[in-house]
Amino acid sequence: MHLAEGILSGPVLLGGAVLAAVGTGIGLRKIDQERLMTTALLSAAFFVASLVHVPVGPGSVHLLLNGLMALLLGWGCVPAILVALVLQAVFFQFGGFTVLGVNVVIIAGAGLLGSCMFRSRLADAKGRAVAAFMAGFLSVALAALFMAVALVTTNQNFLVTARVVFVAHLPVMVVEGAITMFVVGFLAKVQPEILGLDGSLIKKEE
Amino acid sequence: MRNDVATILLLTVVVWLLAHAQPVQAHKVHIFAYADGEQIRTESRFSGDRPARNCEVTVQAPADQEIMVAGSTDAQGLFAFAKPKQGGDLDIIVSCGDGHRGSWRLEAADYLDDRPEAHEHLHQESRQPASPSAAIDEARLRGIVADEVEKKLAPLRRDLARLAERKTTPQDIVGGIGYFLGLAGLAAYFRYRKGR
Repeated sequence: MHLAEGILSGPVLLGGAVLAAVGTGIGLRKIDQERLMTTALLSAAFFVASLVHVPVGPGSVHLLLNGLMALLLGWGCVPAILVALVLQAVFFQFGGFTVLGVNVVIIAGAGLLGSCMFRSRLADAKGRAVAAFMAGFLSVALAALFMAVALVTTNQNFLVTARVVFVAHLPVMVVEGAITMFVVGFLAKVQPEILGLDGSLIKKEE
Repeated sequence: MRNDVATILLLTVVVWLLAHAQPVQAHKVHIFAYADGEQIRTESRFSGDRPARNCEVTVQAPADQEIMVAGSTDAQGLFAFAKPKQGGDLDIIVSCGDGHRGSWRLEAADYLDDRPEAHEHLHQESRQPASPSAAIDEARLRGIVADEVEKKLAPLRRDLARLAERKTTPQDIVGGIGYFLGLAGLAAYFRYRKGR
């Protein structure tokens, strides 16, 4: 899911960088003292998740966890993903510094968009599993779509690129959906306030 | 509070397991190239040793953007092309159309014929009638030996090229995780000071 350096044109890179900077600014305001450690840990999980291969399909794909991060952190996922991408570029040579902004927009933007409509449904114990699965699934699907859009500017055929990227990520979408579902289900039991669920919900369940 | 500690511990364990559950594989496409006789061979692979099939390979000089050779990898991720006539460093780039791209710099010294004296002898051979038999023998012998050595060197060159690829190590992973904790600590410190 990391676009490599030297593929995209200057204006796309610049646009991505500006959007990423704005998102990071918003995100940094939203992270309060309480969420700091959660943010850092999820950021670290994202950093490592890219090493976990999903050995299905034709390409080379790995876990993203962007849906989970956006569900748990909201806008706070933007700086978290930014930091993780910087460290991945340094330690693993994934992506790179010029494409950093675009990669942040693709991954964090897709996570935010993919999970925004499901965030409010986490409070409902019945629909929680489905909502979490969909958030994980959609976030990866949207990231694949965003990536195809970014690649269009390199005069490649959009439909062909989109299909290649989309098909390669289908297994990841399912795996991500499942992981997001399990993590959210687990947190709802053990640590509901991480999900933004307050005491009223716990009382309701009791 | 106990719940917080439990969560942090749990997440740490999850991260730790993720890091160790699989052999460390980087996610990108690698290409490397080496000279083999009159050809330059390239191998392209995704992380985890999956061959990069049907990926576009282009060769160009580092200075200009003109593409000297273009082709695509086969089912094993291999692509070979004839050595270019004029010397100079080559940038060999593999691009898979889905955002994966890798490059390899093959320096002129690594593929140019490194036995000019053999050729010199071969050329001189026609011009110098003096002691022809000895000259021919020596020149041919040099040529034959050089070719044989070249054959033996090709796999070695391939292995060297493979080794030159930077692999992700557990140190990278643990070091990276350390950065996250450090950054979180830093942020917590500054917020604490601001709040006070």
